[in-house]
Amino acid sequence: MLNVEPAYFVLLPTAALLLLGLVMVFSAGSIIGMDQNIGGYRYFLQQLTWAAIGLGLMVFFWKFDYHKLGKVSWSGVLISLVLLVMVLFSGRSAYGSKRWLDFGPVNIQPTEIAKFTLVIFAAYVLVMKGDRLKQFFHLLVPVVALTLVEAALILRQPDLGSALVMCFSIMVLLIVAKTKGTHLVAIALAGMTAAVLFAVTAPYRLQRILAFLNPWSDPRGAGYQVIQSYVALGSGSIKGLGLGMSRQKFLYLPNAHTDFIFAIIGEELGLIGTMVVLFLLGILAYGGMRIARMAPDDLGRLLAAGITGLIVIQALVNIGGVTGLLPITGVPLPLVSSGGSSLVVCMGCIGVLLNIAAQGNRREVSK
Amino acid sequence: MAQREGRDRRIALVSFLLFMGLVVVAGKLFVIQGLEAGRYRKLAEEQRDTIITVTPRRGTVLDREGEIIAISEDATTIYATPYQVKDKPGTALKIATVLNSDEDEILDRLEQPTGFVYLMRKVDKTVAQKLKEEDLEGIGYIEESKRFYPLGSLFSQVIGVVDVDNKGSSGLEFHYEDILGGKGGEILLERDAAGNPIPGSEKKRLEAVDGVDLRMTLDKDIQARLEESLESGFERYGARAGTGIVMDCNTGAVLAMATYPTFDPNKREDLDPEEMRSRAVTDIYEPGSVMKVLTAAAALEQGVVNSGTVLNVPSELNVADKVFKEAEPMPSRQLTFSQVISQSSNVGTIQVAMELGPVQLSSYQDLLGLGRPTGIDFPGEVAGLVPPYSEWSGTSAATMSIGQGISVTPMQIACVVACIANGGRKVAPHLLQSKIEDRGSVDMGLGGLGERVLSEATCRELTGILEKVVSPGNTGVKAAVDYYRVAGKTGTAAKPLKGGRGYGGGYMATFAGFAPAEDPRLVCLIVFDDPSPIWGGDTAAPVFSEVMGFSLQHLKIDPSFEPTSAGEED
Repeated sequence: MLNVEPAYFVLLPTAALLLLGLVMVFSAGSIIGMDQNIGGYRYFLQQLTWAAIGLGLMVFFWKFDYHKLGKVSWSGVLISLVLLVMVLFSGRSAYGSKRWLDFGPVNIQPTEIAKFTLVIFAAYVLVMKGDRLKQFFHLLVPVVALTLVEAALILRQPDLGSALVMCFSIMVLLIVAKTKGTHLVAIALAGMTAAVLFAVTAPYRLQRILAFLNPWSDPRGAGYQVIQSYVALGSGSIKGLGLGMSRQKFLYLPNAHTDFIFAIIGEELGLIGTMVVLFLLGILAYGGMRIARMAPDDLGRLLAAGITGLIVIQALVNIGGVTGLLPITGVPLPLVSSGGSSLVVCMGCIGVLLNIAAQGNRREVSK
Repeated sequence: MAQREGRDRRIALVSFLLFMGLVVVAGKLFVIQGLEAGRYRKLAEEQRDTIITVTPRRGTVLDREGEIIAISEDATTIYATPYQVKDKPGTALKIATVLNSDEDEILDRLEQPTGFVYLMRKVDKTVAQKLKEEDLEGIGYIEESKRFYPLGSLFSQVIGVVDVDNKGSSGLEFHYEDILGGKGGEILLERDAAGNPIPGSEKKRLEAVDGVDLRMTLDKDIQARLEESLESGFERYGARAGTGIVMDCNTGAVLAMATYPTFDPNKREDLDPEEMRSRAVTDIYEPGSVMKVLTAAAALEQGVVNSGTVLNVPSELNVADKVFKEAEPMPSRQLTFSQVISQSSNVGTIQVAMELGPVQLSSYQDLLGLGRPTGIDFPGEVAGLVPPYSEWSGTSAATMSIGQGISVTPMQIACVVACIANGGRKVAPHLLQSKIEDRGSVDMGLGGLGERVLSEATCRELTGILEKVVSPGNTGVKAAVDYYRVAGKTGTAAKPLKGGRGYGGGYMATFAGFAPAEDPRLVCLIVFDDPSPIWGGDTAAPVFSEVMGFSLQHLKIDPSFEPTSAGEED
């Protein structure tokens, strides 16, 4: 197994999750589409289009030297900062938050672009700093500072889930970079303190968290989504109701084709289906981290670890919400959920990962 | 190299954390999808499974000639799932505009904290279609059927009404609920969160059985004549109410039965229970002199008198401790028995009754069905109030022989008269003629002639006496019908005071009779509650004449006399 090209460990789960996503978007999206009077095929065809664009982007980054990517990453951060500010003023509102920017026929989610560009930029900067990273100041500026600014902008939308995913992904970079262990512990402690203060200071956030801890206290209100998600997963049981046979997608679960697609997988394909998804994510994590270890240099190493972290953490935040382990935050399940920005950016990330793998040194690891 | 290993350890740490995350999630999924799966599956069924009841088509009710009295039409019921209605005031306004109803009331319903609320039941299909085209969020439709009475107020009390759930609640609709109503079907299926059925989720289906159509003995034209005549009489005499029956005396088939004031069963919102009673069977009253028909029948049958028997009739008569007089003061005179009846002499009738004896009078009351329901196929029939013989006082036979101290329904009187008309056999009054099923019409075999209670000779003799009632100079002359020989009897009775002894609550005026006298076919009874003038001969009799005359012609019954001259036709 160790002799297998690590790129396959990434390609296989990517392809599998992408196909599963298309099938599930077809299943869940058809009902939502009909309810919204846009036709049962709309979401599927959109997803198919985005998958094609994503594949193109993946192949592009596969062939594009990641070192060049590092050098231009500052412009990406600048663009995403502008977009993040723009979305606060002219974003399209949905479900009580402004997350999308309308560009004619296409809506983009700046958060997705921001996460991707920040990870690349941070990896590049952390490598440039070299041994200076041992100094706490160089750790904070600019990486941690920039992360806090972007996270704050994202929280204004508000999109707690994406902010969490971003912070955790940067944390992965910091761990893998040449940082001091004590500094990491300090940052982790500070982050946790900030999170607690953030939660307690606003009454509605506290209420959300209480509802998350006990959804049954308000089954028709704050606890509704989690309970409906449980109902979906539970009625799927071990073997599932069968492909296309979900009942919860009939408007019981809001956003069955996006945020709660994992619950629909659980309902239609059962525990077997959900375990397969977790297994695929595990392979992806393993493959990504293997690419990191075999990377030809520090930039490749950090980028691979950061990108892998970004994808797997986002998956965990999504599934954690669906299973009631984390509050529901509306983060899409990478490669599976319906939604263009998330899918295209994620495929781009995979492309970068594959480029690092292609330049990697297998010999060093296998000895 | 040591540095490299250190960094590999960092990667291993990150990998470990990510895998731990996956393991924790997997653990939770084992709990939800494995251990607790049953609980959530049950929850899923509870929130989705619904039983939809399929309302069967309610049977049509026809008159004897096939005119539709009651029929079911498709209608649409509009409901809302309030929490799905986002723009409540806007939706309420749109609905109120289309339905032409109160906007505030609809908004009120939309704001209720439930998952289901009726907005309006049984709306006309075309109106509902307009609303459907608005495509409103959270508003749903149920196809139902609505009862329609094309003849309006005609037959209203007889046909009755149905309730909101299409179940008969009065009249024939109630009595024949089992046949007309059919059997509801059920579909067990799953609903989505908006309340619409999930396609292909049907689990069980129990087909509805449609109701059966019924053909009644009633005749629309005779009913219309009866109701119109009652109405004009009601107005002319300032009565409280008027009730009438037209019945085939040889079969007991009721051709018309009505009470005025009436109501329109199509306007369910303003129903008055007072107007909904079919008083011919639900109300009792003291009939007065009409009851002399029974006394006469008993006396003739027992050979106490015959029509020519001459009686010395004093101006007043003491029976036990009570003094009986005529309705208007009369000197002592000699009357034949025939005259006693045709002039409606109280004293003469009581003399005959005393000679007949209380035992015989009581047994003829029983024989002719007083004090018992007639058994007509109609809800709410009462038995009347006939004191049992054991409770009779010394004056009971005297008072009852002239129709006081005894309460009956108009239908009971009509049956007594019908018995005399048909030659002495009991009749079973009925309204249902046949069931109309897929394989054809099935006669229900109701009615016909029953046991003989009077001899034909008695009936013939009594018919002759009753014909005199209608002849010039007697009480019932206004009941005469051109070209037909009519026999009958008037009745004018003071209404007993409510809840006490004595009289004084106005009068009940009756005329009951049959025609043609030589070969009787129809019985008709008319009674007015508190008319002015009070006399049955002045109020009920002319209305009887109108109704009987029309009915005989409508049924093409041969006239008793050849028309004497063309000029006399009316």
